[in-house]
Parts: sequence; C-alpha cells; structure tokens
Amino acid sequence: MANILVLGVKVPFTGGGQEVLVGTLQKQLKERGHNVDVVELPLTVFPKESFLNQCAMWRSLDLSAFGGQDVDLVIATKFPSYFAKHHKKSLWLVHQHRTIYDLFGSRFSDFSDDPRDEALRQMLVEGDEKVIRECQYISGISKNVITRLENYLGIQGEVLYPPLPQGDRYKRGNFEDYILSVGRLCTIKRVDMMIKGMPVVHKHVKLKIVGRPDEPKIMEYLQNEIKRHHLEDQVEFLGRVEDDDLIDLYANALAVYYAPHDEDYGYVTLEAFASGKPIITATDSGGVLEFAKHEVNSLVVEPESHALGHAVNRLVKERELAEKLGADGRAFIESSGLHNAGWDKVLDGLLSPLSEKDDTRLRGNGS
Amino acid sequence: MKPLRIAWFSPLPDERSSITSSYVSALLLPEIEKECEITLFTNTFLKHPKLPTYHYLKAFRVHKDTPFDLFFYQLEDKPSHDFIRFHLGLMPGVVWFHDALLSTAGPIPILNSPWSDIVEKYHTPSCDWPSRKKVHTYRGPLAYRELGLAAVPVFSSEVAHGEYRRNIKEKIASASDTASYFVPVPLKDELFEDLPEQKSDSSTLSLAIAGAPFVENRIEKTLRAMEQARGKVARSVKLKWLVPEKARQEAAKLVEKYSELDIECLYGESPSQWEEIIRTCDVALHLSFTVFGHREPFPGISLALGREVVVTDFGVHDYLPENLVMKVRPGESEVGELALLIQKLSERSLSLNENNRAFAFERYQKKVVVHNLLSVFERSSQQVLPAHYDRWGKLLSTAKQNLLTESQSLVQSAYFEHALSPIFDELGWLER
Repeated sequence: MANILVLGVKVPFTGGGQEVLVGTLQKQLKERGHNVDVVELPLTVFPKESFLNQCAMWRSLDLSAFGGQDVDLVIATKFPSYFAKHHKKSLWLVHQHRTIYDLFGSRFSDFSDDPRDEALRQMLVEGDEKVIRECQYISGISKNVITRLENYLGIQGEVLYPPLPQGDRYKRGNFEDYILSVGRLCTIKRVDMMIKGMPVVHKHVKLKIVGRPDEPKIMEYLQNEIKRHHLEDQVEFLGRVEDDDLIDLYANALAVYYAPHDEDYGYVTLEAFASGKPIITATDSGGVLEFAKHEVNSLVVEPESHALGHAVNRLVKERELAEKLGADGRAFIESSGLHNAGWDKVLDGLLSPLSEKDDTRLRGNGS
Repeated sequence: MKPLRIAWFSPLPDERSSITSSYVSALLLPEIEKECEITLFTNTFLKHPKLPTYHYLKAFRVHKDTPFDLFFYQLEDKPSHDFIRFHLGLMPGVVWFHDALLSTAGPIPILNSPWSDIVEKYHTPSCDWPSRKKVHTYRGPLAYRELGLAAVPVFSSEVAHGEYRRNIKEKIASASDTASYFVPVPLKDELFEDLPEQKSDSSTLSLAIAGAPFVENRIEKTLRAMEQARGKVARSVKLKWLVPEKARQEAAKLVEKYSELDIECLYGESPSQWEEIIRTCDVALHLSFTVFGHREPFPGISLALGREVVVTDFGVHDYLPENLVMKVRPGESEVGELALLIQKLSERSLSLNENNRAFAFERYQKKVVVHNLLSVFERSSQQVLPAHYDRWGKLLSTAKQNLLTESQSLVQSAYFEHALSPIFDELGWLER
C-alpha cells in the first residue's frame, strides 16, 4: 500500500464541492488500505497579483517524505495545487483558474486589458501548461473540465466523474412544495436568477437555499432582491446543514434548482437524481448538462429568471411530470456506477502512476 | 520578399453570415492569402477548413513561437466583437472600423480600462503605471479606447473617416501622427455579372427593406407612406421585408396593424439574404436613421444590382451622390415624401440603373478593396508597425517587471528571494 498525499485548495470560511471531493477521495483511499493525508494551502483570489506567489508556494514545498516515510504519490486537484512538484503526480482536475480561460472577458473575470493583467495571464497560462504536463496521469472531473484543458492548453485527459459523496445514503421522499438550491453563494452559481424568478411562482411554493456566501456583499445583494420582490415569506436561507439534514431536504423537495454558469461538474445534479428529484437548470450550465436532459430527467430552460419561474410552476401543476423526471434521474444514477462502485475506476486511474515504471500512462505531453 | 504574417481577428469567415466581418473575411481571405500568411483568431474553437485557426486567447503563444508582422482586427458594434475590442488592447494593430460609434461600453472587464494611461505610458515610458485602484471613466459612444489603441485605423465609412480626421484625431493624443485610411466593404464579383433587364413583375412595384421594427429603421414610416400612397399609385405596391429572426413577433404585430397592405416578411439579417430579396425587387429602401450600426454592404448590394435606391438624407448617407439615389428628409415630412416617391416610382417603368452599377463597381469591387487593403498592410508593416511593436514589446516587458515587483511586495522579501524567486526563475517568470 502507498503513502499518498491529496493536494487540496481551501478558501477559508467557505465550503463546496472541492472540499467534498478531497474528503471523499481521502476516505476511499484509506478504505483501500493506503496511508493518506491531505495537504491544503489557503487560496486567496485578491489581489490577483498574489497568484504567482501562491503557485510558487505550492511548487516550493518538499513533498518527498515526512516522518521518515517517502511519499509515493501526490494527487493534485484544483488550481494551484498542481504546481506542486513530485516525481509521481496524478491530476484529478477540478478546474483551472477559469478567469484566464473560459471566463476571460466575461463579467466573472477581473482581468482587464491592463498590460500587467495580460502579463499575469500569460505567465499563469504558461505555468499551467508546464506543470500539468509533468503529471504522469491527467484526468478531470467532467467532460467540460477536460474539454477546457484540451481547448486552451492542448492537453488531453481522462474523464473521471466523482461518485456521489453520500454513496448509497440518498433516499426518495415526498414531493413537497419547495425548490431546493444547494451550493456556494456566489455570482457564478446564479442563485439570484432563481430568486428573481420566484415572483411568478405560486405563492405557496418556497425556495430553500443551502450554502454559505463566499463572495463579498453577495448576501446583501440577495437579501435586497428578496426585499425588492417581497419574497420574505417564500425564500429561506438555511446556511450550511448537516449531511443527514441535506439528504432529507433533497428527499422531500419538489425539484432542485441548479443552474450555475458553465459549471465544472455539479455534485448537486447527481444528488438530486439519487434522491429521485428533477433538476431545473439552464441551457448554459456546462457540466450539469452532461447528465441533465430536458424532459427526460430535468427541465432545461433559457438562463432567464422568468423561464425558471415558469419551469417551477410547470412542476407544481404537473406533479406526475416531476415524479417521472425524478424517477428517470434515479434510474440513471443506478445504471451509471456513480454510487460507491464508481470509485474503483477513479482510483485505478489516479493510482496508475504507482505501477508505471517508465511513467508512460497518459503522460502529460498533449498526446 | 517574405510574405507578411498576419494575425487576422474575426468571427469565422462565412459568406452567408449576418456579421459583416465574417462576410468580408470570407470574400477577402481567398485573395489575401495568396499574398500573405494568414492565421485566424476567433472566439470559438471551430476551425476554418483551410487556414490555421486558433482561439484568440492563444494568440500570444502563437506570436511567441513565430512572430506576426501585423495584428489585424475588424471592429463592429456587436457582442460578437467583444473579444476583438478586448484583444486590440492587448496587442494593438491595424483596426478596420466598420463602426466607430459603439452602443455599449463593451465586455465588463474593459469598463474600467486604463487605456489612456497605458497609451500615455507607451509614449512616455518614464511615467508611472496607473494605480490599480484608479477609476477610469468610460467615454462613449465614440470608440475612443479602440481608436486610441489602434496603431493604424482604417474606416469602411467615408463619413466616419472624414469625421475622424477633422474632429476626433486631435482629441486622441496617441493618434496625432497616425495615418488613417478609408477602405470600403467589398462586394462579391457575382453582383457585377450581367443582369436581366426585367427585375420583377411589371404590374407591381416591389419595394425592399431590412431591419427590426424599431423606430430608427423606419419600417412603420414606410408602411404609413404605403398607406398614404394607396389609391394614388399607378400599379400595386408590395413590400418585401427582411426581418431579423428575433424580431419575428414584433414584425407580425406590425403586419397585422397594416393588414391592408401587401407585405411579405422574410427572416434573416445576412447580406446574402438581402441580395436574394433585392434581385426580385425594383426599389431598395435604406432608411435607417441612427448613428449606431453600419449599413454596408446592403446599400452597396442594391446599387450593384442596379436597383433604385432611397435613403434618408442623413450624415451616414452623405457619401451617396444625389444623382444616383433618392433622399428623404427625416422628420415631419418624411412619410409624405416617401409616399410621393412611391407614387412617382409606380408611374415609371423601372429598368436597371446602370449609373448605380457603375458607382458600385468602382467603389466596392473586390479586387480593388483587396489591393487597397494590401497596400495598407504593406505600408503599415514598413512604416509604422515595426517601431510600434518594438515599443509595445518594451511596454509589456515593463508591465511584467511591475507585476513581479507587486508580487514580491506581497510577501516578506527574504522569503521571496530565497524560496519563491528560484521557482519564478524555473517557471520562466523572471525577466532576463
């Protein structure tokens, strides 16, 4: 069995899919008898000039051995953890720093046409390519993530979907009068879009929002929207909830709203399906659409508030549709291997450098 | 002599596109690539069937590997050109302005563009970098930023070019000694082939107009004029209306409002669709009355096909001689003048207007446009761009140095020196 370090990136005081992925990966590796620990460095996105230092900090770490034990493998996840150096490095890419790639030039990016920003972008892109190509095994959490890697850096990788964090614990319940939203509260997750859709939704239907803010002033903004549309009785912020409570919330929702902009993967989609619930999502939600299919297991609408509101109303009016979509979602999960069984494929890939003598498997050379 | 290497920024070339740059690129590139080495940069990952094509964010890598002699941009007032607006600030070049007035401030990241400070620094390297916290006021709708950053501005509108030279250039300090050019949008050679004398059914006067039913496009004014002319015309009058797909519903409401008129809606926005329509019509109405958006190549197509052309008597149409086109004054008398024109046109037997064709041939012929554009490229690459790019390269170099200083200031200097600097060096981040 091997000594393995999982390299995680943490934005303190926030939590999301990244933390779930790192935690479940560590757990699964341990269950298979490996000696595993997590190395996390905090990430700050402001000021952006600090990214160079943060990348270099990862690279300056000596991860070769601790307490007399050699580290056999490191598994990097998110930017900038993959800057770490090790003779056996696997990558399970959650995402790169998207503001210099697919989000560049959009309202989600803070890179302007200042030549200093352009110098920074170029350095990070060149750095990314160099260090990712060092990895003996390259994979990503979704087709969306791997496609971005290929499109922007010309590097190919394997798709390894993260299995459901709660494994077989999801359950089906009732279809009560609330829409559940789960995820970090930040602009790109577009919870505000659903809030703004609520004025057209039947008044007895609530929106329950699980998640914590991880962007300055986001709560102020969302609360203002609620006040503006007189939704105080319809929208409820639940903050962070315990796993058991989350499972219950999924189980009894009418549907789950999850429509981020060009999402990397989206555990929420699969958690909803595992709970037998349809997803309400948008045509530009990226990784969500690798699983969510309109009128098969979800409602996929234009990324506009009134479209989302009307989608909710449709499910309120047509409960049998909500049940049918949810059942199809559940059936998809059961046939997909995204319960616990999915971990074998993931770990086979991530651990493959351990069995390679000459580091040839999916070596990061763009081929 | 080695052919010029040109980085050509445009939405993917497509002769059937409604985007002028795309249409123009499709027409010009087969000729230009005979003389130059073209690499396309777009904002998608789709590829041109023949030319090397990259996403625009990769331009710096390609340029680093094999430097370009010239970066070439076409600018329009459309969201499809946001990436061009952005990139011309990262690497200036020859900018062909199809629009010099922009109805939006552009993609969000350039709302606070420090472009004027950067241009100042470009001219005076010793001046300081602008503070990161400085708020830069956006000035619009004139494309000050894009004009200020253009190493060589080219205009497809004579009117815009004239305005730039007379009134705008002096306000953009960087542009004081910059040459500028007028090069019109080209037309397909096929438009100048022999045409049948009879355009359409002579028992009907057929009019053509394009655009969404917004006030500035004068669609409803046209319909009111047709209504006013009813009963006074010598033959029946039909309007063929090219409607953008997204305006279908509004167009339907307008058609219903004027249900007694003979109106046929066709859906689209591309020059090739306009060509198909105008070939079956007698009269082209180019009545758009707004400073935003460009008109070409639609009026050019109408002229090339020998149609009678009616335009609004307005600045953007000043380049059209009054002996070739009919001009209608916008305002109170507009509907009346249009109605009278329709009446008079219905009384005439309309044959091909050879004068219009000759004007269009002289102005828009593809090989002339190619020749003129290649001259601009050649002159720019010999006279202006080498020094410009050298200076811009030095600016980028000092930008990198400034960035490194900023990064270093964020951590303890000893830590940076001993722990991080060797990593920066290994990653090729230090300026040597």
